[in-house]
Amino acid sequence: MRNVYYAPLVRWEIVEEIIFLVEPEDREEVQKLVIGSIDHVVMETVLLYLDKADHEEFLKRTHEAYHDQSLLDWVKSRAHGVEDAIRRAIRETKASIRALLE
Amino acid sequence: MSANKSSKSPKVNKLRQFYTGLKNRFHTTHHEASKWLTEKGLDVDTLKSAGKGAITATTLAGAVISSKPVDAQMMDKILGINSEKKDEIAAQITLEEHDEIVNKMKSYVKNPPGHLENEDELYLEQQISDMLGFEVTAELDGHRLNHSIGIMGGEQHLMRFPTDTLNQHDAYQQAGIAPARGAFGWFTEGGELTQKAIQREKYYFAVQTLYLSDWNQNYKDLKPWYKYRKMVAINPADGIAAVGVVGDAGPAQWVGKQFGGSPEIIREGKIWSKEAKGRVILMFVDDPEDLVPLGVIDINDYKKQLAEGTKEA
Repeated sequence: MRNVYYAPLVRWEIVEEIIFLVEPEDREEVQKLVIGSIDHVVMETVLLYLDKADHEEFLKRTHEAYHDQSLLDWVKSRAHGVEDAIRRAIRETKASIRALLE
Repeated sequence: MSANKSSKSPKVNKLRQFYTGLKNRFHTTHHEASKWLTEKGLDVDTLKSAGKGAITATTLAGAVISSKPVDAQMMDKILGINSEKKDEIAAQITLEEHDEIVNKMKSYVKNPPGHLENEDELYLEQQISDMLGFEVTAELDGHRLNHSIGIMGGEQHLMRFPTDTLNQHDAYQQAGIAPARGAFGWFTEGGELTQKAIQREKYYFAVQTLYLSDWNQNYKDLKPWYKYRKMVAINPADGIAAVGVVGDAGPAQWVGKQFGGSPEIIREGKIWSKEAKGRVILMFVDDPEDLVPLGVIDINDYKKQLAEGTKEA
């Protein structure tokens, strides 16, 4: 679950709490959906902040090593303010999901 | 995503719709990126499983799936190490030396809380490492707690996951359970209470990370380093060592104790026996391959082994 390049920006204990909002038999699927949702909003945010010329390079890098946290450093070096934007996007996504499951 | 869609829960169904909405939005707002991925037979979900990192993750998961529980595998490994080390130890430490080391430790823990002089610390690290059969050190990767000698107080059980309750813990329920999660988060990952997570809560230490001089500036780096960091508490008065992980922050300074121990650590390590009165040595275990199992070690066993070795000689 934490094997993603943006792992340091996620408060994983909150993700864990969200997963525990559903019945045990649903947790595996919910975990996949939560992480999948976060993957998408992080991808959206990074592409929004990166210069278009860097998009292909970024996609290649994610394809090569989605788990590699040095990729986050690479993104931060090219997109000012992206770190806060990713955090915000993740936080909002978690809040939306929590509202659906509570 | 190949999520299991067997659930009929309306909540889960809403989440599925939410997720599908995000996928569709991504295709619309980032059409070119989406096209680039599609041309390569990928999407945001499969990116993760296509790269090298995913292969590593799968390999690691595969290694864990075995007919034996993880702890049993770890125990096998450590027994292997100890068996190899036993001869070395016998060669390095005599029975008299063992008694001398233990006596020194008994004397050290009566010092005021803090660290030993450099020379004594190096001596102790070496002797404890030889005695236990794994590397023990007061400073690891440039990290050092404010104390390696001090008093260890008894802590309550920690909630391992958000709906955890005291009666789900199999031992020492009289210790109670803290009302919130520990400072390092839930022990579970992905909603799964693994054997490893259970062991970590059983044998956890609370250490005063909050009083480290650089904590406020560097907590983003320090917190992940300390989380589940393996440590060993030595109770020299009773000849017991307890291996555990950092699972919580504390105790507060006004409590007058420097470390905390889980109910299992306190009881099984006899930390508050009449002789020990909470006085321990607490050091890091240098165990990058995670081979040293959590739990207590009877230091007197080594003494017995040495005595038997001496007889044979």
